[in-house]
Amino acid sequence: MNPILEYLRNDIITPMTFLPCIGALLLLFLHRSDVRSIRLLAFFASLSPLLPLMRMIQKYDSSISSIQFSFKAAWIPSFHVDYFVGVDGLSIAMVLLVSIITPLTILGSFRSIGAPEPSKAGCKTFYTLILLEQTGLYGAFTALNFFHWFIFWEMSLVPMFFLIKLFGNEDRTHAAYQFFIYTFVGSVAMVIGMQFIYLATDSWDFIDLAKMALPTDGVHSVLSSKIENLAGSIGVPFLMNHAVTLVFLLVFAGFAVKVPLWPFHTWLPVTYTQAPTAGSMLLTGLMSKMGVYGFLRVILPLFSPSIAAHATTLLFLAVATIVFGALAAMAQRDLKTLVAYSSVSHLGYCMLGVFAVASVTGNVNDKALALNGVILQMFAHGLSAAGLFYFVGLIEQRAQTRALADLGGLRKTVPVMCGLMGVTLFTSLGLPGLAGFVGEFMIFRGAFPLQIGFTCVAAIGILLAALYLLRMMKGIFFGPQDDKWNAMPDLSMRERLVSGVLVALMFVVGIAPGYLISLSNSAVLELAKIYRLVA
Amino acid sequence: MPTLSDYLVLSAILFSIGLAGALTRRNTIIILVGLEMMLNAANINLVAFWHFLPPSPTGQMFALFAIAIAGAEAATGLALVIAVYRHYRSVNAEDISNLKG
Amino acid sequence: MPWIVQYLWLIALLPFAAALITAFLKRPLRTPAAAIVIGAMSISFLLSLCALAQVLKHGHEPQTCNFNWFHYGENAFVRLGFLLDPLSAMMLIVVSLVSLLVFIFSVGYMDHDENATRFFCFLSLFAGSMLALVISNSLLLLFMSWELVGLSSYLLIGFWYHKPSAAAAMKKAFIVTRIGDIGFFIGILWFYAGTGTTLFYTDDHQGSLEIARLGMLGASTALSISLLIFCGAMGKSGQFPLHVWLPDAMEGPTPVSALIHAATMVAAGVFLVGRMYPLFMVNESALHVVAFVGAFTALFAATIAVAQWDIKRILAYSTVSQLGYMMMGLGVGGYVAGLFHLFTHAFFKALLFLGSGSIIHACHHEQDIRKMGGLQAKMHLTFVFYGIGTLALTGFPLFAGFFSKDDLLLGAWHFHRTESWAFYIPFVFGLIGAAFTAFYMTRQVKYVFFGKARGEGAEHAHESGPSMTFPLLVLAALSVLTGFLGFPGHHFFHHFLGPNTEAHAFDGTALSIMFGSSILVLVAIYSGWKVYSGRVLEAGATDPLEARFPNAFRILQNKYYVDEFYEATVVAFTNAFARGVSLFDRYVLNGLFVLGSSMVVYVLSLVSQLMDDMAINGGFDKGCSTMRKAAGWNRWIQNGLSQHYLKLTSLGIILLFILALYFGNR
Repeated sequence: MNPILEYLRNDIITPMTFLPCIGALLLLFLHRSDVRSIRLLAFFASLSPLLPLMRMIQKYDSSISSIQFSFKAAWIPSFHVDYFVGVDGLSIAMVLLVSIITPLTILGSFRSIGAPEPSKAGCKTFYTLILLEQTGLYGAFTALNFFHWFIFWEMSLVPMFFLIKLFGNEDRTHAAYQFFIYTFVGSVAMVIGMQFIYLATDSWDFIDLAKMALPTDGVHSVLSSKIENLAGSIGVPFLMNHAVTLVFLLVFAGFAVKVPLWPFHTWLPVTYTQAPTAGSMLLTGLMSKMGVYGFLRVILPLFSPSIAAHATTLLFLAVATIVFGALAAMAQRDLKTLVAYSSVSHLGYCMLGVFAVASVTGNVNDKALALNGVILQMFAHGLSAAGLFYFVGLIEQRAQTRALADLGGLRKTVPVMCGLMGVTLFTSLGLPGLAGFVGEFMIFRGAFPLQIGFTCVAAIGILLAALYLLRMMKGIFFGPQDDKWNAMPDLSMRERLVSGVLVALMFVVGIAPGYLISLSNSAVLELAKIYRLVA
Repeated sequence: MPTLSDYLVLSAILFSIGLAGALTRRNTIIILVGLEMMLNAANINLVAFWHFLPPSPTGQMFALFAIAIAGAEAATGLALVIAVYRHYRSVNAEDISNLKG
Repeated sequence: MPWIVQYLWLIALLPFAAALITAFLKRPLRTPAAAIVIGAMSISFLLSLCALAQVLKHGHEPQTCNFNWFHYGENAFVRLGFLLDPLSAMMLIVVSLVSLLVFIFSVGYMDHDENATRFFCFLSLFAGSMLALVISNSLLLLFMSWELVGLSSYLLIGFWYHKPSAAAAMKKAFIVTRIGDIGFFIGILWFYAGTGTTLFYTDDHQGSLEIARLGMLGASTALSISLLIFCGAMGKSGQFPLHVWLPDAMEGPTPVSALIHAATMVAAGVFLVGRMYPLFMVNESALHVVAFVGAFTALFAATIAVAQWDIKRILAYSTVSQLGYMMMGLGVGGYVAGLFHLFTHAFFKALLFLGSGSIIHACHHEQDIRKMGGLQAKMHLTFVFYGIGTLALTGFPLFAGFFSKDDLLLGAWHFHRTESWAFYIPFVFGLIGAAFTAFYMTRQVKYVFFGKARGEGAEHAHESGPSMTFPLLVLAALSVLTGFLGFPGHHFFHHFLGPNTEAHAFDGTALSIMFGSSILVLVAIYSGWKVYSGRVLEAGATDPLEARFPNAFRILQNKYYVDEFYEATVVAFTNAFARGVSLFDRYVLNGLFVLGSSMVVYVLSLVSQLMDDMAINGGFDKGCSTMRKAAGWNRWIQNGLSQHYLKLTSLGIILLFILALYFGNR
């Protein structure tokens, strides 16, 4: 048999990951003035992973909890580095989300790519960066060896830096640097922590490490004793006593910054506000999910005793993220900053679900429900937040302003936009029948018996979400309309397509979430069961 | 009958004239002529040694080679001079100082 | 399973489908939109009748049709379902009938509005969610429809979104009800976690209500859950202190006020308490809270209504007050009485609102009763129907409100306990409230229909068209007739809705309460008639109450300053807190923390730069400059002249020769 075919039969993920990258390379052969071809090529390149993905979905077995479609090849044997990819219930929904949001982002930015680039000059760079970003995201969601995974994790940072730096709004340089340096500091902390684990265990492999980390007597595991042994050999008493906690905190910092968790979130409003529309869509729709995914993939399985020991603090941070994020959103005057803070608040729900699972008591089904809810919420938030940024971008493009006070009464001139953006806002608000509600309900329902107090306080976030989102709705669309907006065009067919797909998905997920939940359930259940072993 | 040293003195004189010409004249073509004289001084040496030392064809062969190479060198040199002239509109060696450090 | 139970969901789905179709219709297609919506609603109404027939035929046992929404964990399911029992059958009839009539009325009322298509879409969305709410057999599905009902209310209040007051009112309505919904949501979580299922009733009697009824939750848990769920009911049904949104909701078109903010949606809170009654009964304290909140709201809102000028606001406060009565009825243990009042109130309040709609339409959207007057002569039909509605609302003998209100007062009387006088409060408040109701309705009717026209609109008023008067006719008939369903002694409604609950005997006490309250109402109507007659009804005259009690009137007119109180406390606090958090973010977290640490890094880098400059670069630079100098001296060698190089070479060779000669000889 043809060796190439043979390879493709074994590995679906690698072609899926690198198809956008190949598209980016092909893009380099086009002339920079041939904008039309550039756009089309970029769009189809970002769409192309759907082919392998469809095969993956078709062959995916939702009843098994282990890694599927895995492909492993030795890469740097002396450092135990493998090229190791695969998906399971934790990641497949995210892979799906990347494949949906990125093409829509590209389609959505056909007309305008960024604030300082009204011309077509930067087009080629712009789409190349987005395609590279897509490859980085696929890699970050499918790689299972830390070394390999970390390359993609950082690879997704670099194109985003340039997207912000080159195509962002007025304060873009500052935002780009703050974004890059802040998240990079987090990454460095994480690398140090993972290095320590590697030195102790000789393994970078997430799956192996998770097996090693299964608690044997409630607190200790093979992993923790290895870490303690290594720390013991250093000879500093403080390190010896707190080795596992220190490693946990280092790795935690990396993900907490990425999510972001209060109080590590301050890079986010600046970045989201200054990024071009496409950048904000990718940042909030996909990149913020990398942090939560990290919690599910790394923190929950590897550090179960540590996370259970610090559950109260962590839950406090999650609730603070929800409530303070929402309150800060209420006080914003800039539309993009408002949506950015709402994003912070909504990811807080995910963190609530993640940390509630670490409760020592409680039944596995509740925990599985909360974790399923986390994944569904990530998916739903990916749709709604990307949609919101898209609409804010459209408004900014039409009105040349992002200030809430300048707008008002636009429903009269742009009724279609009002309708579609209204649905998106209400998804974000958690209206039943739309995607946002299901995830929120599952998280709250799962977390409630585990952590009653924190869940009740977090419910305030739902009320605050209504406050700031309706304020936004009222500020943009209702009330008397200024005559200067009379000529504002309603959505074009292309814009309707982009937002229509998003809105349709919000309805589908909101009404029939069963399929998405079945994808993640087995893997999540396995994760929840770990915490039966924790004392 | 002239002796070997007579030839050598002749050759030395010829070489010195050539060297003086090559070093002092400004016209590139004269410099080339000087170079050619120095080459021929060397040829005289070669032939003289061939004549006075025990029989071996090496010296004669060397001289023949040197004459052939001198011809090629003269041709290349002149071509270079023409190229330089085209570039600088001058054959004055002092005008051509691009290698200055 | 009977087919109607199996296809119960169709009743809710049809209006949803109609809403979806009309959502895609263009603006000018108002007639097809109305046709689709009314057609779907008619079928829903017919199906509701079938459902009613099924309940009448097969008795009171709940009949359910459940399904799995999704699966999670180890064989765990989130289940949803539909339920047919007497309560849902009654609500189906009320909602579908009133909706149908209001839809027909809207065809006439909205005939000049350019967005009528959208209006029908929203109305249909509302009807669908409300119908889904009443037939849901799962607290989760109920909550989902509950929120959708809130959404359609939001959309319809803000239908004239360009008015700032409407834009503010829609937001206020959604937020205030959502405050209650947070409690409701937590209650749902707790109830679900406690009983392990969202379903109310199941075929194997493992539904949450069945579990709760057996007392398996524990009394204090049941109390907490009941009170949390009651929070939601308070928000939706406008109970004090969450009543503030309902009067503002009158910014919406009048048919909306009739359908949503009088007849159906606001009654959803009462329905919710009725649905969860087995849970509330576990711990009596929960019902006591309901009773006192309801009684207070009933009197509180009735007093405010006395001093309002806007015809719809009067009716709105009247609605709040009547909802308080219903809650009080449920709270005092009169399960049937509370729901019976819900049933009759839906018809006569819809009648009153649609009647006021007809008046407002005729007066060119004038809503101030001081600028109306004399309409009795110009709008005969409306006057008659409005009068019937008023009599029904005031509890005039033999009209619908008479029977239901009487049931409530009887229940409230039997509520009294020997332990404390406080248990008389609901009865006393109910009685005083009834008198106020009769008074403010008489005041309103006198202002609107009698005297001379005092405004531009009222002078040119004329009777509305048949699409508007026909629904009024039907509702008027129902306002007269439905009362007899609860005729004392032959209480059909009681047998239908709560055969297991104990009815208060129709004895001497009951009869004296009936007579007492009737006399009170008649006196109130008479005094209202007397006070508001003659010169008072002329243009520019002040309200006699205002003249007599100016301070009290001002307080009532400003609704006890509750809105202002909230504005100054809750709203101000939340906004200040939000601003504080935002500033904290910007200056402390991002400023002190992030920029501070970056400043530290910057200073460190400055220090290291200084070190570099002084120590490392200093030595290095010196070396470099020495070399540079040396290079400068040696530069003359490289002057670029090839002859010069040749000279040097020759010199070198000569030098070598000399050396060779000198040393070679040795």
